[in-house]
Amino acid sequence: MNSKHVDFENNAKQVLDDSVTSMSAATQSKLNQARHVALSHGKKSYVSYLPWFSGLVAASAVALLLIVVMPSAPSLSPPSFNMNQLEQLVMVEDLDLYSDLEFYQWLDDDNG
Amino acid sequence: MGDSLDQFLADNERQAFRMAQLAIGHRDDALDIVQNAMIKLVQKYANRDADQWGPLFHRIVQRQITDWYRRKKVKQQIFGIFQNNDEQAGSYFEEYEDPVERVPDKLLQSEQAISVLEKALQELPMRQRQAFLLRCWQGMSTKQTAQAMGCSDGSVKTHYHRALSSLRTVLGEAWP
Repeated sequence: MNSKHVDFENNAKQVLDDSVTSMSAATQSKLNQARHVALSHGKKSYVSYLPWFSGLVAASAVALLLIVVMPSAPSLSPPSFNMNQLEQLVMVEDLDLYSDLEFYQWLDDDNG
Repeated sequence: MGDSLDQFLADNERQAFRMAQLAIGHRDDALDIVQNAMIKLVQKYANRDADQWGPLFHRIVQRQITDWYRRKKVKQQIFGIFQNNDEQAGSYFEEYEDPVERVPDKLLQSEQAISVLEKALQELPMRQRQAFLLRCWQGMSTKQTAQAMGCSDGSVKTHYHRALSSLRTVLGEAWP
């Protein structure tokens, strides 16, 4: 990277830093409030709901799978297992959860 | 743990807010983004090592920004793109605080500099803007930026280089 790029980057960084230090008191106050709200959320629900929710989804999936499989399984041979079926069973509307799972995957990939 | 997380957030909240505001051009929504990101970090990652909070927090903020754009796109498709564009442009410039009360010449000059840079950043595609802010301002490496943006190292390099070239072209004359 040439020196002009470096000068430009330093200049931009300085301007952006200045914009933070000159932030209005009103905005800083709102950020302060937001932080306290966030920290209070942590105290209220520090126990993550995800294991419970995951357990509930897994239990529901197993129960539904048994309902689907049981009537057509008089023989002792294991029923054919359809991944698409399972995927549909555990599918939930909560896009946030998908996003989180993707995020957890990212964490595992890069920090694990 | 609580105190150190409090300190971490206190140290990073203003930069995160400016980052979000630069990304979306809307003060109140930027505040919401930062608050939501802080809540997610506290709820999900408070018990992680402190050195992981930085990358995680930026990752969450960037994800929130991307979601904001997705929601905006849906709204535009529903209500009409031209109407929303006009409203957005108006609200963007109305959100700046009036610098006259607070500052003498030097800070006013600084306000003008950031105003020029913000306008130029607003002209960039979202991903280029993200790459520029994370790499140049936050000082993240290419790999860290790729993690925060959820893309490959190569994409970060491309976005960043294009952003830098565009900004230098646009700001060439006006840059202090």
